[in-house]
Amino acid sequence: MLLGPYSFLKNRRLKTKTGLKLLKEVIESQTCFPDWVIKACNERVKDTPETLALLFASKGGRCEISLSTLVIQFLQPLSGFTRLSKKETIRCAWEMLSTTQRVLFNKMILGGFQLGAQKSLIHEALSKISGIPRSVISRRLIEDWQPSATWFQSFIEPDPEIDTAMAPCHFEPVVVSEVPPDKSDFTLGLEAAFAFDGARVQGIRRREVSTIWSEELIPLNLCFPELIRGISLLPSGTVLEGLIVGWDDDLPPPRENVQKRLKVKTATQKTIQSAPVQFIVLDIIERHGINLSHCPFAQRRAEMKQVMDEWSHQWSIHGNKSEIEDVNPDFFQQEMFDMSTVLRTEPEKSVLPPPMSLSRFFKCNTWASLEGKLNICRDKHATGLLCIPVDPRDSPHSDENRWRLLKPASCKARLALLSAERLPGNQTHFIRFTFGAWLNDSLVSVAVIGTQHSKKDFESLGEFVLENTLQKQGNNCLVKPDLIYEISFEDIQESSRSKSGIRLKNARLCKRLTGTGIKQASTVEEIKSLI
Amino acid sequence: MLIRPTPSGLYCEQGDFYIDPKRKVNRAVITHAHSDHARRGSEQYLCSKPCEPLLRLRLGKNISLQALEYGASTSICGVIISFHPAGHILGSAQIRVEYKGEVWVVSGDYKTYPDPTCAPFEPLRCHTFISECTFGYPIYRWPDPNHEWNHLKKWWKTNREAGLSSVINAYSLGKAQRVLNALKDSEQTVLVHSAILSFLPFYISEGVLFPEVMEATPENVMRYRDESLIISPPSSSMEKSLGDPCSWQSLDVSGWAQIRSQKRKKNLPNGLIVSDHADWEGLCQAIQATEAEQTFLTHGDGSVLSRWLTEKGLSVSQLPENRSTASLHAS
Repeated sequence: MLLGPYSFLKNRRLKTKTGLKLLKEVIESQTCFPDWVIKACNERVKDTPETLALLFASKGGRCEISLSTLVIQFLQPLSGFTRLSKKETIRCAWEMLSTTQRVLFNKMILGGFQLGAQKSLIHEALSKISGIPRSVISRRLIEDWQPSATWFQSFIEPDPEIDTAMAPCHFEPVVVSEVPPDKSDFTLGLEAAFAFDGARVQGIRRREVSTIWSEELIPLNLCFPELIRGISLLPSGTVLEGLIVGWDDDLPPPRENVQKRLKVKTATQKTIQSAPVQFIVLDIIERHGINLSHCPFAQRRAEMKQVMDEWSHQWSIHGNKSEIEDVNPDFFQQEMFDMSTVLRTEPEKSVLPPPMSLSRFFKCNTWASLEGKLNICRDKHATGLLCIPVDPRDSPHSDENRWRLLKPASCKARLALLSAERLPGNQTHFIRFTFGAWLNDSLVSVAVIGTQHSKKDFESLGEFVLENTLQKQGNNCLVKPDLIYEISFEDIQESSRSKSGIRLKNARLCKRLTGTGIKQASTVEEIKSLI
Repeated sequence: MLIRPTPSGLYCEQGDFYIDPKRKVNRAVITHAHSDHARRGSEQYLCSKPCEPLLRLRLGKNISLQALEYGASTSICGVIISFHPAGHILGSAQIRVEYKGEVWVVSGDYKTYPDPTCAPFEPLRCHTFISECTFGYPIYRWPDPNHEWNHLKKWWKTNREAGLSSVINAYSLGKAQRVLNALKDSEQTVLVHSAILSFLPFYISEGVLFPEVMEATPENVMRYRDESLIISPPSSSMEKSLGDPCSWQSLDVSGWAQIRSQKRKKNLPNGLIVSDHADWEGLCQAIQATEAEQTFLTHGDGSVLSRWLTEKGLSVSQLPENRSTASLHAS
């Protein structure tokens, strides 16, 4: 029953065919509380499953019942019951459970039970427990499943053919460097490409099966069905690596598109149209089933160009058709996703880009050319330059042969500490600090510093907050704006949540500015002028 | 109209006294020693006998104070006043006011659940009942206190085994003593804040049992932090003196811990659901037991309780603040 907890961790709702109305009817029949009492209580509690759990007056209910028993005995049978039997089953369950257990039970029925656990962490845990590779766990859990013993048995049975075909290759770590790079430790003769905000992925076509894997080993087929369609036109035995970035007619590539798409369980035609994306190919890992990762990049680039030329040809023939006629049906797509729902109306009306394109590469053989490209990164709305040696080097520094992300020099601003967010339930421990700049005559928030800093930095800020709190709003403490820090940042993002209209990207503490008055804090206009 | 609300509090014109006045008055009749009911500055005070030492501690030794045993009465300008147990905290009382055969009862704060630290609530028949209504929603039903105390003992034991300090946030008068009484069989020392410690002798003189306690001075806290339970008022921020947030666990003791959204709002991540106020059932039972012709609700939102009981055939309404006698009659 490992999948029971998993299902609720990921907010999957069991099909119980039971709604709020039925639960309210049980309450009314058991407590005589009319609807107006339930409504009034709900306004106070602000959570319907909890209100119903609290209203059901039961003095018993200290039964130690496991989650799996609850699911098997009470939740799963509900969908097959008559209305009367459902009410009786729910009443029996409520009688047995404590108030807290009743809250969870109601949330399971109504679909509001979710814990904030990262998908990748859950998959890692399931992999360790079951002994199945994480990528296989991730892929199998996309399918439609119920937390039952039968399904679990099939879940843990090996299927080597499919598992191998869909397995991702190793994602080589990208070395991130702040500029200026150490020239003594950095040899030129590079191929470079602009890097944009997006998701690093592998697009895989093997044995007529197409898959997109994220760097966190999460299959993204359902989030990006139009890209799967593109990948399905690749020759079998091909693995490409690159970035999925937002797409627009003009630069910059919209950052939010990829995030929006990653959040949806299954992308609909409307989502695809409203948040278009493109797979920018940067490298080739496999061709004709042969691993190329150890070949020189010059060779990989040539192979990649051939593959993408062939793909462009295929796309020009098949890309505008609603059905992909001469490509064998992709059983993964058939199982997981009804492509026709996405593709039916796509071709004529669409203004979507081709799903894939080869990144533009340029050679950097001199420092001047590298620095020149770095200097225009912000104009291009790029996060930096992705570089790789054209030929492998016999270097003691193994990192030299890997992809390396060079970032443009960060900007700096003087910002005042405005508020701090406490760790819930803890009076003295803070998890986020908000800094502000002047806009007209008031300080408005422009940057949030998270937990990436050292304990010492955070303690120092925390001590200031404890001594200078003006007002508490829940977990948020507003402080006297007397503390000025020099903050470095990489870019400016628009923000509709902040009065300043901007949010500094990757803001980090540099140093505390003692002897600097609040009036010396930067203005929003000054910050904008830096970029 | 024997008792009416005024800006200074509930006023009895015939006897010229106020019940739990909000401002300085000539004559104050006090239900119990909590600071929102017993305020400084009045000329004369009247309270129950067990409440007397607590009131003197809070308001000063030299206040002009008369105390009556539970059930005993006194007459002020022809108005007969007596105090009857309310079960809220030590010395808490309902105030029975009788004038020319008309009986009003002002409940003050009360609870109907048994509490070993104070006399149990005593239902009183009356013509008009003014009841508190802090938890006047049916979502508030207190679990068996013994279950909560067992949870507290397990929690403390778990923390001790994990080498963590245990901090209980509880009001210094009433709640803290209830917690201590629940731990009376404990073999470990309990550290208590000085504000709590000052009330303990009065409880002991009434026969309430406590475990071995020590004052939670900074030295004692650092010395016994890994084994002791520390009880402090919520406002004392005892956790600050314990340093590293990973080295301690805290627990609040409050009826508000019943609802998750209110726990979040009041920043109570963990809580024992133990209250010194009546829950929904307690309020309904207490009001019905008075057999009062009319009931007024105060201290809290009584909209649901008043409508619920009115639909059951009782005359129940909310007591408006600062309302004139005429409009109160009209209601």
